[in-house]
Amino acid sequence: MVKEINIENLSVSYGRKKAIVELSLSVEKNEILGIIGPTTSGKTTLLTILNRMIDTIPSASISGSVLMGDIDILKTRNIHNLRRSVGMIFALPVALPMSIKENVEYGPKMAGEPKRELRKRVEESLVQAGLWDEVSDRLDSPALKLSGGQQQRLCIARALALKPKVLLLDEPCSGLDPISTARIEDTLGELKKEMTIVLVTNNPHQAARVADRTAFMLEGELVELSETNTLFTNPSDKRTKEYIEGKFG
Amino acid sequence: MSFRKQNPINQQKRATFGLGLITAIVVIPVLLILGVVFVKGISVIDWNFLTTEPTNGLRDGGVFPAIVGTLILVVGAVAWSVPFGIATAIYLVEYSPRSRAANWIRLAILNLAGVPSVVYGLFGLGVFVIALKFGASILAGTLTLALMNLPVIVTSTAEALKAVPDRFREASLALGASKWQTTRHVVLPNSIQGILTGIILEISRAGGETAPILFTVAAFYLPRLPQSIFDQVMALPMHLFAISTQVPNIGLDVRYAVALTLLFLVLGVNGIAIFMRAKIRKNRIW
Repeated sequence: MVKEINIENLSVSYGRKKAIVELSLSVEKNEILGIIGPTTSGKTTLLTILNRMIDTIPSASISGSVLMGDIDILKTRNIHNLRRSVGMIFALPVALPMSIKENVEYGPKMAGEPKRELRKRVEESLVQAGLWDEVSDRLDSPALKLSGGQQQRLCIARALALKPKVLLLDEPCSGLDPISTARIEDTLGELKKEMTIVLVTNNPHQAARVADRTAFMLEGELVELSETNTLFTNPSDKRTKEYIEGKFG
Repeated sequence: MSFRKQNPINQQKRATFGLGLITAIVVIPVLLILGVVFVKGISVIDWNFLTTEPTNGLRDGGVFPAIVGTLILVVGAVAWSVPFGIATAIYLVEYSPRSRAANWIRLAILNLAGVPSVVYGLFGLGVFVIALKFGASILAGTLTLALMNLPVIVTSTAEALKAVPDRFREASLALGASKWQTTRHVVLPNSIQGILTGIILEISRAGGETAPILFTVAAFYLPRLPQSIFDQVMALPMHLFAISTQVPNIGLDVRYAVALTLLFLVLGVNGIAIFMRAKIRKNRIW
């Protein structure tokens, strides 16, 4: 397998509070890596490292190394390019207060893509995110009128419009109903043919359904990382077993 | 009767009545002012009054130069203060680090809004009229008015920017947009209503103030239109002050007519801004 992202000895703290402790793992190309664990396990922090959204939190201090190909994620000066190739989906869908089309165009437009390209990407990305059939006749209506599940798929389309190499999802289905959740999980299964996906989830079942490999994090440490099947049927660490059996969470 | 035992429906009725009464006490004087000015002044206002120049030492003729002068002062003050005010607010909210120094600057600007207008007038006289040698002129007067209004514009714009939820900024940044792109394409379009509210307040103040223009631009009697930004102009508030206190034997109805003209003018300009804001609100989607 080819490595997409390689993390070594990553530590992150907010002031005195440690969020991630000496974490090393690699994300392989075209896999869905599921990350499970209770709150305060450092899952979200890990994601915000990968596209440097952590920069918006001034109190964060970071050490270690995170490499994506020849890009040093922690040191790169061009965070705009990094964020274009490492897309991020937040827990609550954030449709920007503009039309559906403008939402999808936003990323490439800010990157300076020509108009003809924008038009093409709108359709492509909405099809990829499985939203095209529902919105193709009202691309100019406000994105905030869409339902929660549609908004989340719009956010995915918006990130896809930048043709990212990696897609980060932070509990993308936490506010959605089971049908919307299933649709997004199907979409992820399709998307991994073209990109690498890191899926943080509060719901171990979701990781079991869609992830190729799954990591279990606890209090900022990586407890265990293995093939999803192995992790859920035969975990090597007692804490992993207890978590997936629902003994704490 | 104990408070706890009161029927909530009766409480609700009492609260509605009490608050309504207080609102009426607040609203009635405003309506009275408008009504009195209107009834006493409307008889003097005709086409001639609005379109001719004053004659016979302000005793006869109309107020046309003062109307034009007030419009020039309002537009000029807005033109100076809006770009600078919005830029400052954007810097303070979006760019400046959350430091103690920045907080002091914010506090200072907030307090500038409370400085009496006559102080701005004297400052304008000292700096623009005398030190920078603009003389009593449109340039000096509009700059003085703009300075007086900057704190209001900065404060109201900053509040409008802060009201845009951070999650919109984060979504934009996560898509690789720069801070300026985020401000320009996400934050500003969604705070434009609040910004316009600040500008509307400024229009009213710039149109109605006498003290800041007294030493810097307003002419007592200048029965012609200005030729350049270094000219003086007449202005309605100054004109009202002049005919009320400086010129004997002018009928009360003429004074009310000038006041009514000023009210109409300010309300008219405000109306345009409020109309724009309402139009934007209709297109607003969150």
